[in-house]
Amino acid sequence: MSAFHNIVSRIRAGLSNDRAPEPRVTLPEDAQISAIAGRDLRAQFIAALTGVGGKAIEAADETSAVDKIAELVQTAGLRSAALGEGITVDAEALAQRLSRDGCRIARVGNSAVNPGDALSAIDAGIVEADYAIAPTGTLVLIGQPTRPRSLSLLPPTNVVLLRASRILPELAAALRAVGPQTIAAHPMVMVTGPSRTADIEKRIVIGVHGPKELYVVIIGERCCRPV
Amino acid sequence: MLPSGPDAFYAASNRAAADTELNRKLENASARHFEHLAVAKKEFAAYESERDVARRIKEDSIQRLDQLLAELKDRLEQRGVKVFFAQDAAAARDYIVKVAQTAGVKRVVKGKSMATEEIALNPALEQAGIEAVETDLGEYIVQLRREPPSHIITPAIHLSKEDIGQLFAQKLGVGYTADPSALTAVARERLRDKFLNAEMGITGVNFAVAETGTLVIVENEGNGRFCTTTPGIHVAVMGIEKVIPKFEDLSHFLEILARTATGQRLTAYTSFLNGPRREGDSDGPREMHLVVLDNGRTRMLADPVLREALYCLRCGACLNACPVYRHIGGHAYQSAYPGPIGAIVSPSLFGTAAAGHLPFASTLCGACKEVCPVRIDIPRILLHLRWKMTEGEGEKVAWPLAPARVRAAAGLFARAARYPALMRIAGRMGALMLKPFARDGYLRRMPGPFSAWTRVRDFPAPVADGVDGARPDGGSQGEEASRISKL
Repeated sequence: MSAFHNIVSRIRAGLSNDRAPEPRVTLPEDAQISAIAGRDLRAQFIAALTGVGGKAIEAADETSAVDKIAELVQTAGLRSAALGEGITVDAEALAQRLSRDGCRIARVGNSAVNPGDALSAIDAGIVEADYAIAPTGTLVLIGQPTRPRSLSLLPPTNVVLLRASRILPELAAALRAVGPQTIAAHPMVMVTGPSRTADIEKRIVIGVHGPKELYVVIIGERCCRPV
Repeated sequence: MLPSGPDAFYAASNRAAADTELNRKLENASARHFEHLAVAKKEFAAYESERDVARRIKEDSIQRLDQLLAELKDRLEQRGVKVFFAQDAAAARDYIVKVAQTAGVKRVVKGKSMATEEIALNPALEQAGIEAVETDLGEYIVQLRREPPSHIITPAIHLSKEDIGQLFAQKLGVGYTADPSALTAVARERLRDKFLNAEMGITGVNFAVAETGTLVIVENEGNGRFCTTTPGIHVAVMGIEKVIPKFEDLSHFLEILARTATGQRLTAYTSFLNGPRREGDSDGPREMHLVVLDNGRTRMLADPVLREALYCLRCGACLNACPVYRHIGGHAYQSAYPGPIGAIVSPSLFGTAAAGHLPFASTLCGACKEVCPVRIDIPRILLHLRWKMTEGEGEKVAWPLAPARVRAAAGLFARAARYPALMRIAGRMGALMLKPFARDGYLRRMPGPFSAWTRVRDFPAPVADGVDGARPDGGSQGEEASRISKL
């Protein structure tokens, strides 16, 4: 008998005396409470993001987003940036604009390129988030061939594009939006602020192995008015 | 580090308790932890109800553990993950070393994983000539000191920033600094190169979702993401109890785990992994393994009282809350799992001879139960284990029990305590006998064997009706009281 079967039969024997008759508990409806429902999600997201050490940049539309990123590249002194495919702003236009300003651009998301090599000396990775969670300031990044995981991990600065309409009111809503089918087919990471630690005397330090700086460019008119 | 019996524990905990410097560091870190925690709890209106929901999901998961493990295994295998079930620590170690050797691995980067501490993986890798580098900052620090972690969330909680500054200056050849930011920057630079040049990454698992075949890893530093992204092989190690039924269930765990473990709303990184890199992907491991560990957990499951311990999320909150842990620190327990949760799981994982004494290393104050996010009744389990290891069937703890004189007195008390009338009479007699020794309402010096008490403490003098054998609740806990007194 295999170890798997051994373990499973020990579990069955162990439970045999007092196995619960109900196959699955049903969770009460009120279990999924959104403590802060009905507020301006965008403002709430920005407040939470700022609270964990991220920085929000607001842009009215795609053109404005390109301008704001170009501005950020100048002010933060970023000399190189890596760009994945499949972002909602015009990647070509963004790449040209940043190159013109003297920022070296690496295009990744092509399996021929080893991101570890391509990204090891890059200042910033630019990606787009699929969703965001307002009360926690969290970004949800679903992995795709055009969006290597390393892009939001290796460069010391991470620039994340986010459509304002993609900001959701709670964690449970984000998990529902992603859904079991997607999570079974793609890797995913939820990012809440820049990398951090409290391993030395429980003192919070920002910037350990992951990005030290996290900028979120929120694209879209203010959609949700406070209720 | 694995526990090695009561004598070693006694010596180590006595040393630790006398170490005032260690005490100061632990209190310092605990105080800051509770500050972070208080803020996080206050703004989370649903905290209490979410704890109940999380517990119910864990209860349900353990009730269906056989099905969930089979489902998880199938889903992961469909996507090319090699799933290995290990009945004990040796089987898990051997498997991982073999995978590394087969692939010609020279260097392994490790994310923080208590399961790999439990199976003592690092010494096995080193013996096979494979460099195993801990990459969580706290783990990196204790590894440089060639020490085990002393806390399951904050491995270097027993060290001050000055200690760490000296360590880095000595071992890494950098200038001395006690600035946590500067020290962190040193670790970032040193470990980046290791991440990019390791052939294998080894991590733990916080949750495994059966429905979707997803491994969930929560962390803050980004080292967990590196270990599962840049090396060609990823090996994840988890206990059988980590599996939960549904993807949506995670919404009830991720927030309470972050809040109780570190006082955050969510950890910086929550990774959801489902298999090796697919056609067209430009990164991620080419080979992925999951080691599912029993190592005594099915023994815990078979005991209806102890079973609850399998709900543990390894958040570390009970360690921070425990007056014993805060006094002696993690190393004194000599177990990969120290503190209250360690006291209840270690005997099953490491055996009664090695760790059967740990359930006795508690004051039963109940602080651990209060803070546990899934409301594990740790004091009840501690009592149950004490009973099991002194009076139950099976192996007993090899503990030199209290001196015969004390045990005889406790036995006498236990018998008398069953008769309220007798207790009342004995109480009055005791009060009468003690009266002559009272000075200014206190007993400061007693003759004979009682002097052992009065040497270290002043007792309030008894009042006429001060001892009453009857319990206000009518004695419903009488049986438990007699059980305690027999220990």
